[in-house]
Amino acid sequence: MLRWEIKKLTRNVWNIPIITSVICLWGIMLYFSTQARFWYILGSLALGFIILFISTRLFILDEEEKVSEVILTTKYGRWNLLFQRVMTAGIYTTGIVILFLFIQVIGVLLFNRNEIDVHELLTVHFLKGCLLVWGGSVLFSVFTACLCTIFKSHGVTAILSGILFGMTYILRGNLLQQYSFEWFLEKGLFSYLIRGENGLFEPQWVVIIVWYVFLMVSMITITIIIQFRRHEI
Amino acid sequence: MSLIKLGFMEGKKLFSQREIYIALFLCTVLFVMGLDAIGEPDVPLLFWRKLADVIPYVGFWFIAILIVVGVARCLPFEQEQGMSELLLTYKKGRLTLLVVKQIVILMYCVSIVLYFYGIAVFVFTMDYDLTGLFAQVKENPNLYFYANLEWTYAELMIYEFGYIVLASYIFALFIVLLSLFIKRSVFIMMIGGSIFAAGELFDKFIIKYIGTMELGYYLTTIYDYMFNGMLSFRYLNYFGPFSTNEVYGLFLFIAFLLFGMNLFLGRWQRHVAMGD
Repeated sequence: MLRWEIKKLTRNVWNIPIITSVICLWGIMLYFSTQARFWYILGSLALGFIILFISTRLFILDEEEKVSEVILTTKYGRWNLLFQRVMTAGIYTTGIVILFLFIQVIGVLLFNRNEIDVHELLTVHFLKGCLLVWGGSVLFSVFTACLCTIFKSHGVTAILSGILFGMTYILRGNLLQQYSFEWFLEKGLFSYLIRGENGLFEPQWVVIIVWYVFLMVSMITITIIIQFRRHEI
Repeated sequence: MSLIKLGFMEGKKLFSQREIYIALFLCTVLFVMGLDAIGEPDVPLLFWRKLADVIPYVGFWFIAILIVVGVARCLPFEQEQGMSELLLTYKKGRLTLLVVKQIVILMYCVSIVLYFYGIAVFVFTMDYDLTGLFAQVKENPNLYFYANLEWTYAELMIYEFGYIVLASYIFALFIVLLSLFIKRSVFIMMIGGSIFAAGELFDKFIIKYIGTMELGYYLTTIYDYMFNGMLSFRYLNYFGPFSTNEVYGLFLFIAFLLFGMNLFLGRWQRHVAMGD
């Protein structure tokens, strides 16, 4: 089942244009600037975009193709179906993160005009936040999957997650009071994690971890309750 | 069915989308947060100056978001409900329907703009003195775009309202144009939103890297005269080429052009669908 679900995502027609755009824009950024940071805007936004419009679609595809009633009679069980789909979203997101890391590294190696030590360049400047990026993106994909399952609408999920995720790039709350509403909006809605390297210097790590655990546990619990009430698990 | 009734039904379809209300809630929260960020010492006419500055400062983002969310589903609605073939048999023709839809979209733009001005008035009333509507702008000029300093704030607000309605309508017509080619509303939302977001990201971040290069100059010009520039009042820059009246004329021309183009393409697509 997992293989089929992954196939559905990898065969999406938007994969190639988005990845090609990322490669081109990263090349342009590196060509024009030696200070370019991959995850700060380009990588994190592209990843958010892919999660919102490709990975999340898996959870609404049955509705769109009007086969949800048939799919719910699966002999493997509805719990298994939900679990496998969440797993698929996580695996697909991991694959995209690895691909983006590869694009980032290749770009850095090709445009290393200042002859900086490659090992230092990769470990200190570029790859230091990759674990954070991976964690943030997998959490975001599970979050959007839960939202999509709750609302049964790709549009609603895209609007809710898209506005909250995207606004942090424009309304920056770095200088705002700690633990205020704006602070949570800036740091508590995944884009902060996906931007990677910023998070490494975060002094309030414990609060952030507690917040994300709370957010994810609540989201998953609500999804399960709603699915249960709809007799979908 | 009369045209007014058709317009009413189309309006009902547009305003019954739950996506709009979800986006409206989020945008209202973020907009009010944005209003708080404009901190100023107490000076005369602050209420009217802040009201004039609020849309070019942050309001246009939320107007753009709501336009993308609302208009993206306006045309594909019938397709998504599986009744596009039935629509081809509509007695008054697809052209009439498209005209009505585009007029309803204009009403939608007016409502959104009024809503955000309403929120701003409500928030500012709590903090500032409302007097000075008929005072001249030069007593405490607005900051984000050029306006005739001899105008009163009443004239300025009427001008600004008309400007932002026209600018948002042009953006909405562009989304309609996109939806003539893309059949799924989520993808229209995605592409329309990305076009706007890319402009904002360019203005906020990318320009810092390439601002001194020739490429930066060209891209800034594109930003200034595309949808982002329209909605953020860049057409009325202090050193811009257009006067206040010329901008109105230009916007009306662009709006008519897009309106006509959408009708033409809509009619052409009908013929393609019918196979004649």
